[in-house]
Amino acid sequence: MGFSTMMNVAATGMAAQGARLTAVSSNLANADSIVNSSGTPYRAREVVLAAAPAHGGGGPAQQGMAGVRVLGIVASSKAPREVYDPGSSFANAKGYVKESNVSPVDAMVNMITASKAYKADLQTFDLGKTLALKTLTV
Amino acid sequence: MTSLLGAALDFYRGALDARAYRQQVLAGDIANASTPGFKAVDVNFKRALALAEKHGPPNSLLLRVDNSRQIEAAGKSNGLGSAVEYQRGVSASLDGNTVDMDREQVQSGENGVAYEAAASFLGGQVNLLLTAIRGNGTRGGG
Repeated sequence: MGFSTMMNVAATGMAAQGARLTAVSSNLANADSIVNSSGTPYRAREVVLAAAPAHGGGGPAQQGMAGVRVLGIVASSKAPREVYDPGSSFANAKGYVKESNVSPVDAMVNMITASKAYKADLQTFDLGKTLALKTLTV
Repeated sequence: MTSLLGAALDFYRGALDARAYRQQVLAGDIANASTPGFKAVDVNFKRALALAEKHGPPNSLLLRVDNSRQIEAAGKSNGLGSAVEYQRGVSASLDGNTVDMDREQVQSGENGVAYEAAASFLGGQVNLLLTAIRGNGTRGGG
């Protein structure tokens, strides 16, 4: 069925962008975290997306069509921020405290692009619904 | 289709198939707007329409048989997959993705309107045939 594939593809896009938005909110919430439960600074989470074969209504994969899926969530390898705070109990010998490596600017840019892409997927889904209903009124 | 009624409606079936297929491909592009390395595709509509007319409707409904006297319905593709082409003349972003979101949304909207237009014309054609079948002035058995 044509439009069920289209709506499924849009749904995979919404799920993927939703995962990105979740990662962004986690990063922003932990932007000032010093240590996590394992004693190391919080590292920014990044969602890796990959194209995946599109299926319609549980049927076989559709030729020439691609949905998207979350390949994995990786921790950023950027160096943690070092803040001079000799009074802190987490400070090292030189008086620096290691904080998370979250860049709030990166997080905001990611949030804006992810939410725009989410809206585009939502519009696609809506268009699929409109066209399917239109077909029923022929 | 070979029947008279089928011939009158077959063109619209092909047009709707090709438009719906293009809509799915564009949906795939939009879903992959942030996938690294994804290359945007589009449907060569002229070719897709020709293929849809040539191959007839796709059949994704499979009927299995366990007796030679039963009628088998094998899966059949309408071959539209071969009308998919990579978009040319688009600039790639740093991660190698070539989806231009503005273009995709414009094309998607335009294609949606074209689909609705084809559906409207099909409805008009059906009404035309019904008028011809009923005849003039004898509607309702009067």
